Amino acid sequence: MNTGFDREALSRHLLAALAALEQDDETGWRRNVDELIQWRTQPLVQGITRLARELEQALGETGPAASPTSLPEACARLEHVVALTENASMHSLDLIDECGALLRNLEAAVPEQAAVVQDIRGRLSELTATQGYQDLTGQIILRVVGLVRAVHAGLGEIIGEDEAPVRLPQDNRGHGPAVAGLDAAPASQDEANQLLSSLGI
Amino acid sequence: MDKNIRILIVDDFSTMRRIVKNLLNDLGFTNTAEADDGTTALVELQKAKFDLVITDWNMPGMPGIDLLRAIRADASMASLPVLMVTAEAKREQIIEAAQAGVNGYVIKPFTAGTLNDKLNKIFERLEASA
Repeated sequence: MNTGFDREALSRHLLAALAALEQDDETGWRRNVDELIQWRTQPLVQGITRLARELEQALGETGPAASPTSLPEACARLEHVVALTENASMHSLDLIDECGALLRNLEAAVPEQAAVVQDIRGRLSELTATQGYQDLTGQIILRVVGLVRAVHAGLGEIIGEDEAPVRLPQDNRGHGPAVAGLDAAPASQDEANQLLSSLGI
Repeated sequence: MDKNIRILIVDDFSTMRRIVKNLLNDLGFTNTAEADDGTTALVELQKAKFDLVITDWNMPGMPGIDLLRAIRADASMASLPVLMVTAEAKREQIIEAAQAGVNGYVIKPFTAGTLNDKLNKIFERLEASA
């Protein structure tokens, strides 16, 4: 890697650039300044390229069969987690539906337990709402997938010719649930209620 | 309250659509339809008359906030009640939704009790204005 301070080459380019500038030789001074810029940025680009390769390698070493794991494959694994939790949530909702049917039979057979049956129904409703964890965790995971895909695309561009910033899009699409320690603290339902009521809703 | 009112549930996660649908069923509301983002919701809204829209915010395609704006901008639906059920909980987002004309805002994760309360509030207003 060209990290050494090559004084002779540096002065040669500087002097040549200066001479070209004085002679109105635009091509000449641009070429020499470009050489200087390249000398200055090369270690950075090489460093980033090395990091990208190491990242790919590190991911490859985590698999049991030592199969190379790319960033896109890491994303696919995360999407698999979302699919697994979705299946589990749907199964829970199936079971809750079945409990509802069983409760209707119970209510008909033992009318004096109607109050207990109603209590159980209330808890089944809360169990239903709790399955919303799948949506919340899914949104967080899919957001990370989006970030990893952007990093992957950005690294590809650095290794290639163009340079592009790797950023999450900033728009009004929404960002998913707030993650403690990473995002600003979210409003509670009470705070939302107060805010809405202050706005006349 | 007329239990036969038609309700559109909009969320990209099928789990959440089913959860909201089941909780509505628990309350006796069974006349529901589903859409997975704002664009497909608008198609449903054009096809039939709805009395209430329950929508998520963060969805691929058209997000819920844009769906809300599209509903308010359409003279035939401008007064259609919209309940936002979302994990988007920043103060400025709640204000943005309020300014866009939302009728209620439920933050995920929510309890069945909270959803019931918010729905009842909207239903009370629907009855009062009927």
